[in-house]
Amino acid sequence: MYYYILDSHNIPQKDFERNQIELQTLLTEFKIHGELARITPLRGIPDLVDTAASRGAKTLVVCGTDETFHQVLAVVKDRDFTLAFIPFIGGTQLGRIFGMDDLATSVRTLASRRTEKIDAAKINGMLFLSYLELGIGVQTGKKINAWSLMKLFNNSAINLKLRIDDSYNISSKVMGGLLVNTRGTFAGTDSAVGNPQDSFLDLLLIEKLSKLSIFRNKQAILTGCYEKVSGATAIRCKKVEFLEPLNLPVYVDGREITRAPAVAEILPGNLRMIVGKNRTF
Amino acid sequence: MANQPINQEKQSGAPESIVGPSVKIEGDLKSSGNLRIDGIVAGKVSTSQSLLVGETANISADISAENAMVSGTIQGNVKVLGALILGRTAKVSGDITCGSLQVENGAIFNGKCQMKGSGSFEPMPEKISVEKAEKK
Repeated sequence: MYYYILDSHNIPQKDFERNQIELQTLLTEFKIHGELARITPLRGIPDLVDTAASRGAKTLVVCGTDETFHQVLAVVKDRDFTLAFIPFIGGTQLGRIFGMDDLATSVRTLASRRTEKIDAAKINGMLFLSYLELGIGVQTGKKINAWSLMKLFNNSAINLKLRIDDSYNISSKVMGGLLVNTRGTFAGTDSAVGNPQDSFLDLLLIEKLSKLSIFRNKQAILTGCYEKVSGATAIRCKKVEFLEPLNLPVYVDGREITRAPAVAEILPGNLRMIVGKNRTF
Repeated sequence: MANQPINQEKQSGAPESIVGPSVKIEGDLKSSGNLRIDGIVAGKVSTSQSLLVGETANISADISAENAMVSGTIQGNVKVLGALILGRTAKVSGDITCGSLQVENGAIFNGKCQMKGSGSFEPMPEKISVEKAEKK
């Protein structure tokens, strides 16, 4: 059975209602039976996930934004669900990653039910699918102009200290970084970085750059493709401990989720996801 | 060399892991893919594929790799199964074991070198002494 969790948070009321009606129509059209439940102040995500489990639902379909999916992921933990994501707004990061760009495509994909085992990652016990952001890494996927980006590079560098795979320490002055499980980039699928089925995380660090270099590499910086920038660091690893600076904020999708010290690690093949043919991996 | 774009690597293919020039690593750096080092490393470095040591790299460690191209500074023993190339800016202080060795003009190397698979070979007969004997 499919269990749909609908979230209207951060979505204009009109758009949400239109999406809800369209979703129901498409589900009927494709004969995908299931139960729809909307998140309300009285029925939060943990309640709905518990209900889904108690009713024997095997597939949990998250309808909303990237944030909704991350919240569901945090609650699902080790429960045996196949997950799917239907974006209720345009331009979602996870929609791009999973090839579920819009509602119609997502429901069609759901009907064909192509599932893939993918790696999840966790930081301080919280699961995430995409990437962690540090410093200017928070700007990944945002639309800012070259001048604003140059201003950000005028900020003081972070004296970062990390321990990798319980084997070696890295220290470096960086402007930003990403710890990538998968990324919904625009970088194309030719890159080895960000494959959520390789059992690795990719640590990308970017240091202070000259104005010319920022200008030349603007696209790579804003799409999180630091490995394409001269002098950047890219390391494949399974576990990263954020040691210093203490209290360094770590973000997912622009939202602070924890602070250093923190431990992030990969959980190979931990999730079963329904994915579309336009996925980025 | 250190500031060349990463995708220009021809010698060893595109590296999966890159240690940037401002990065300092302490400990055992192990990689299963191609590795490029432009920063400072103290400990051990090993990869089952190719290693590229950039001009700005300063490595105080024993190194093992399938193939290696060195343009930076290494203090430690280097063990390469295949080809080892010491570029013109390379400075290596330590013993080398490799399958084949190419040293470019300008490279500095202090240590012993052992070529794998060379086995024992017969020295060339001394032509001059034979010719002298014939004359007598």
